[in-house]
Amino acid sequence: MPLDISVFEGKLFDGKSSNSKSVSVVLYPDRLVIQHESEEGLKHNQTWVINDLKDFQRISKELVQIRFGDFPSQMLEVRSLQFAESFNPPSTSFEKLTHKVVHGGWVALLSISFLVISFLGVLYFFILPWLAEQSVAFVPKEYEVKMGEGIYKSMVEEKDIDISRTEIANQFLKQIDFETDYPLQVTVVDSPIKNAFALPGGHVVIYSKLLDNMQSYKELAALLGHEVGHVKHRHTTKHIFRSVTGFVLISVFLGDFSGLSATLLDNANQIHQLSYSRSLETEADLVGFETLGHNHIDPNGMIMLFENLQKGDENGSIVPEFLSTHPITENRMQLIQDKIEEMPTTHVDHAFLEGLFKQIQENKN
Amino acid sequence: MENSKQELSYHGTGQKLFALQIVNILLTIVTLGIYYPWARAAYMRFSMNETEFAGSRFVFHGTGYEMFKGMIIGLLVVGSFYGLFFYLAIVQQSFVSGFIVLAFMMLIVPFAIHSSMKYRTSRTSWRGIHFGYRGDLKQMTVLFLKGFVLTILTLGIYGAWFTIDLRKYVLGNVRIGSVEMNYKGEGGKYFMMNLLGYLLTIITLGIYSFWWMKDLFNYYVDNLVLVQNGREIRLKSIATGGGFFKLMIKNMLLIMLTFGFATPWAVVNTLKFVFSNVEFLDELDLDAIQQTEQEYKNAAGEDLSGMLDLGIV
Repeated sequence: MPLDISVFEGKLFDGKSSNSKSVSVVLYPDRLVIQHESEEGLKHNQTWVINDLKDFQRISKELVQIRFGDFPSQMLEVRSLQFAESFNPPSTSFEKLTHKVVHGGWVALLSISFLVISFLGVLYFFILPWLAEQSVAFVPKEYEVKMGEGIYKSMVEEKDIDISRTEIANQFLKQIDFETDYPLQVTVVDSPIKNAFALPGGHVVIYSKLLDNMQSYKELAALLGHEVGHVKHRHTTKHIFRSVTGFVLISVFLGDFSGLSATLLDNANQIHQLSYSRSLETEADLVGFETLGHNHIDPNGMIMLFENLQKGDENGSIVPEFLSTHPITENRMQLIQDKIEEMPTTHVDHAFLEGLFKQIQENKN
Repeated sequence: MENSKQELSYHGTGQKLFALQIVNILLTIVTLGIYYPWARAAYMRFSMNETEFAGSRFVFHGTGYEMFKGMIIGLLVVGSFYGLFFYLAIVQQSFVSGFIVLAFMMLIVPFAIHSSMKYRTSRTSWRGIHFGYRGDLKQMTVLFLKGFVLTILTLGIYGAWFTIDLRKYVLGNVRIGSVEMNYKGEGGKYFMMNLLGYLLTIITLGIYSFWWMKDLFNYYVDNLVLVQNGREIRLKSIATGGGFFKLMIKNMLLIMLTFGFATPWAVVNTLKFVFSNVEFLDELDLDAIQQTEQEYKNAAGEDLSGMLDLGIV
């Protein structure tokens, strides 16, 4: 036996019972030689070629388990730090990385955590939103129209449609060029709530209370401009894509977590999605502003609309800014105000729109 | 061989578990999910390796490659199910699609339990002795369907008997080589325990829930027996309601104050608590366990149950 080769103590399980024999193990670069003495004092030798090993696991820092042979395999257990360090059979780089981080110190752990967390952050805040945005382009317009129609039908069923006002509002809509080929359609719904929304594909729903509080046709034009902005820029579809990708990432991540931390992450995600819907509102404001300019309608209609909305419902409660989807009229108003000052538009009076607006106001139920 | 003290213990640390999970997440994302089965294998290896009985660690022999093949099969099964479901939803056959979901769940769950048990046990060993599961898929399916239907018909009441029947069947078919397992719980007692726990939890505004947890845990452990050569080895839980209370409060604070980052430490706390509270009332002959199980090659059910998120046994 060469002198520079160490001999280790080990336990050999024969794979037939849980009983073990004490053995001595000699480790060579390519093989293990296992030696034990039988009760009669006879020496038995076995050689396990490292490349033929069935399995080996470093169970803890100093404990190694090695299996050899067909099922049920023999199993050798050696408890020695020196053995564990010098026994180094081929393993994949993934295994090596895992081992390094799990059995390494805090430095390895902190650096890899930092790497993973920044990677997840980039994925969540930049890559996934970008991907979602890109994939919206692959959704055909016809599909959006169909989806919007479906939502519209199920939603309108529960609401009172004001037929005569709807008719006039649609005439009003047709007078304005929104620069889109979506089939636009307005519906006026009787409701004591001040609200309006757009569905994907072209439906705009206005609640009567909001109309009742309008002062001028400019305001209605501004509202339509804003809502059609949501349609043109496919905001609902984008929002769905964003929510789904965010949700998928978080569920994958949560595969290893559960319960309380899941709830925490889920809520954080929702708050983040809200900030996204606010950015969509601002985008729709800008589209509304452009539509007014393009049609030579006084952009101050936007300001009037904001003031109207700001007055809120009589019983409206105040929601903290970061939790609200239609918030910060103050900020939004300022943005449009700046735009108006930045690039003054030429606008004229629109007697026909004015007339239609009056008809709408007079048609109150 | 020395007959070390017969007790279970868990040696993992939060730091190691955290490290393992962070590497798993990194590699899973970087490989666009392909690494997932390898991540699962690494996790299961870790969980087993850190658990010790009578001085020897448990070992998990499953490999990522095996589970990868299982995952592909699982994805195909679940994928074609979703495909069918959405197709039916589009052609507006909601009654038929509802029926198919139910039928699928009723057949896939027993299949997933069965194959996951077979796979997991066959890949687990202690002192070189492989675990095994000798349950039969057909019997499991019948048991499951019966329990499922009766639970619905009795508005959930039969659920207690169903749970115990499943436990009896699954655990009763587990072997550690020549050592058999048995579960002696009874549906009626289990039902009463839950009813009482539920009522007392409401009356005490939630405080009793920790003692309810203790009762459930103790009912699980105390009714578990190992059988070696016809001799019974009984288990006993020494967990207390106060112990559960401390554990839960500690874990909740840990998780909340760190926004979830300390979850691995909480998991380790729980495992340490569980294993340190189980005692063996009778002696196992540790040197006389014989290898009895055959080699088993099939990992399909493992990933199915992972996907369906079944927390059975």
